[in-house]
Amino acid sequence: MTNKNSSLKNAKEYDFSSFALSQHLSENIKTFKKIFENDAMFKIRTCSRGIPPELECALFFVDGMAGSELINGSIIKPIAQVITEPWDTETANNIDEIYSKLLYAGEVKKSSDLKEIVESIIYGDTALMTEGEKEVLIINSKSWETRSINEPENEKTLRGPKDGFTDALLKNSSLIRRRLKTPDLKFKSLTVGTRTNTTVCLCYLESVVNKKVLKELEVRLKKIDIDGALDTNYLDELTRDNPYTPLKTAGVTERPDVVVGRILEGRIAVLLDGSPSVMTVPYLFIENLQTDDDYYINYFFSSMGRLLRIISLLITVAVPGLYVAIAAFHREMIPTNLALSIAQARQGVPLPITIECLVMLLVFELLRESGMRMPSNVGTALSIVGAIVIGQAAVDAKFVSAPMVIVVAVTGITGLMVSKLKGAVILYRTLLVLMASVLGMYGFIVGIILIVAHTVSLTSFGVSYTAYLDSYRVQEAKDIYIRFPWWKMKERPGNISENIIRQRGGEK
Amino acid sequence: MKKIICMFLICISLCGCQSYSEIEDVMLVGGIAVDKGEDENYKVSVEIVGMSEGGEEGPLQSKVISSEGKTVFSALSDINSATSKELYLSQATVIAISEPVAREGLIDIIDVIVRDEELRITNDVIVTKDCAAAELFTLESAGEPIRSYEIQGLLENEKETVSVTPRVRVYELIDIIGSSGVSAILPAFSKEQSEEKANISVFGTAVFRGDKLDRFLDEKESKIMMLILGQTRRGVISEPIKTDTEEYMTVEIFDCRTKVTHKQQNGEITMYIDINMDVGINELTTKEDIMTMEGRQTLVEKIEKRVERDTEEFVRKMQTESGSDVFGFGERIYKQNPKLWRKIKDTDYFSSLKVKTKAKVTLRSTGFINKSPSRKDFRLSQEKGGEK
Repeated sequence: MTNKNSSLKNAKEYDFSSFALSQHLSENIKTFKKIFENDAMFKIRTCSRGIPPELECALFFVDGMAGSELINGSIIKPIAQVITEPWDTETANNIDEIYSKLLYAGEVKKSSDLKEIVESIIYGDTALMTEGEKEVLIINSKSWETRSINEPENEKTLRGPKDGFTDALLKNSSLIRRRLKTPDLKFKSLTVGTRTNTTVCLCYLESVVNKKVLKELEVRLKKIDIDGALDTNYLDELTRDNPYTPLKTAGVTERPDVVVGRILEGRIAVLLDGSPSVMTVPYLFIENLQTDDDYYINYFFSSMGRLLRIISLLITVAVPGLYVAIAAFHREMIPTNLALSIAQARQGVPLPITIECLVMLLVFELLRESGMRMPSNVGTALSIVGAIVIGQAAVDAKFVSAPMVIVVAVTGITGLMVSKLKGAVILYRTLLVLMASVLGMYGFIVGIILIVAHTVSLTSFGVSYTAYLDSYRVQEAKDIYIRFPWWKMKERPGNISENIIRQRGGEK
Repeated sequence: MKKIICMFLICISLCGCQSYSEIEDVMLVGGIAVDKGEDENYKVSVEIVGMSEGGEEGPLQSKVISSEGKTVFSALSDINSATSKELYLSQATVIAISEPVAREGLIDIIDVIVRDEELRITNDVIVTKDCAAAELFTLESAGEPIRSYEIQGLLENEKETVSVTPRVRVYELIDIIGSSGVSAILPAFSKEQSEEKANISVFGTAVFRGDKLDRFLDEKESKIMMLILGQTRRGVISEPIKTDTEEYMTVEIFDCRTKVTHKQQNGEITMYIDINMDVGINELTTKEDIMTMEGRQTLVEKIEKRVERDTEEFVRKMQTESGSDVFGFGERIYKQNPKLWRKIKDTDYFSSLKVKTKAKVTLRSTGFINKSPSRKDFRLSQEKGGEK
């Protein structure tokens, strides 16, 4: 990789062309040593068997990735010790015989592809090679350490399942499989990342999923050309329909129950090895305002919660802009008493109302962001600083007016209600404040129109982003603004699933 | 994409912030008073809501600034040039007009209010009697520090509690002045001098003929007028129980519905005024037990008679002395019989109308107690249904 050309060529994948497997074990050992040069964790264990049938073989594995107990007990022990049924010395090194008669391992694969062998070794498998054979046995011995299953910190619920995804794909897939005990559930695997070679798994129900979406997703994932993918967000950004939007067009969750719920609706879950966040597509706007709890508690209560979140979204986006527009342009719109108290509070405040608003919003975002990145025991100190210093002292010192503190506080609290839309909300809010400060209510309304037009124009894997927000058919509107009871949910969302009948009877 | 962003930025940056102004850089005007000027036609005063400096949460202060001008608006802009901050008229609530100005006509003033983009047409319009309009803003106020808001509150309260005078907004006034079957009425205010202080007080009603002030009605007449207009929501009537004693009863009107119809007979038009009242007894200053069936009946009849007599007397007085159709009889006729109205509308129909009043009073309650506490058989526990 001395010049640019070769590095470009090699960016795609590791070049195996200069290596080849040979029939001689010692040659092969040399080859592997070369491939894993300067890798202290790569281990080679040669073993030869004195008693017939005599064997000359070597094991290749990476320490830490492969489980030593498994290697010792299931591979080395049967080779070195026991033989139940002797075979001919001529075929002593025949790996088929070893495969069928010696090994105590469940998953064993035969391969002569050097690339596959190396990647398997790296992933924790053990390669068994014998003298005189070009083929290699790849024995599954993956047993690296993973995090245990915990409740996800960011997605706590009052009721419902408490387990969360871990960083290991296998464990994650088992969490999904455990909830969907049907052969209809498919796990399609592919690799992303030219250097990380990360396993990505598409998980869906064959009879429910929308085939078009599935195909499109696969095509897009295969097109990805990036050196590494560490989280599903990489995939989200690289596969979305509209690259330039602040809104999320793919769902992300760390909860298996949520993933299963979405798979049941016909969506596809994308699991990525090494990340607990699982992506689900297609994604609708209203999912930003749904929570897992919605489905686990009484539907009256969860409908109320959802309406609150919708109102919160409107408030958190609109209120600062509205306040600026009214206070700077349209004072006749508000009741006299309110106008008086705003005017009185504004006396002696040095900043113009727009700047004041932007500064306070910035301060709030700073507090929120620092609170998030901070160890939890410093959080109390932060809230004191926020409440007392920013709130009380700034008003007393006439840096900001009290109504503005109220506006920002309301904006902030309601913003926390719709945390899934955080990025977009901050951007839209600022846009509206700027528009309102230039054109007053007119600018505010133009801003709202721009936002709505943009949102409506979005699609997620071909499915309209704002689908069903305007539906009046019960089966389409059943889970949008209010959650209907479960017995009413007879259909899956029509443009997400191909098989829309969820329960035929249902009716109570 | 770049083009769109560019266009967007250009649009925003070129359109400027034409009407942008900080809320603390304007002077909120609470009310406007129009008087006769000494040198020029009008003397216009505005009551400004003064903020305490430095933004301390002190009480609001009322300041009055006046200026004279040939027209109302020129005087207003004169005030603007004399102050450091711009006057902001959108939060004004009261337009006070002094008697001499009202006698000359309201049209010029209404024109300004309706034409100006800041002034609201929901402003209350009032007339001041024996008191300059601007003086109203300097009188002692019982509640709000800003007199304009005090006046607005007074009018609101008046309507809900005693129904002495109507509340008329600018848009209502325009309608009435424009129509021929009814004369405009406005609430009249004056000052009430007591020792050192002078308070704002409601005088009654100002009656207009066209857009010119015709006469004032005092509080008593004003109440009767409200009754005929059907605008009485609540109110109080005091009536002696017997003609020769000092014993009184006071009833409170809970609900009052008035229906005005007309009948044409032999070229004569008779107006029938049906007043339906629900009342409750508030006060009885008698020792006699009048809470028998007959006793109640006499009370009710007394009130009915009283209302009928007052009403007819008052209408007759208006017919003979003023000739202003404050009751909107013309409009009633127009609504019920447009043909007849077309015939009579250019004549002096109002003074030739005959009026018949029928009052129906329903006694809804006697309050918590039936009998007077001075009676021997009075027991609170029984009367109030309290502890036994």
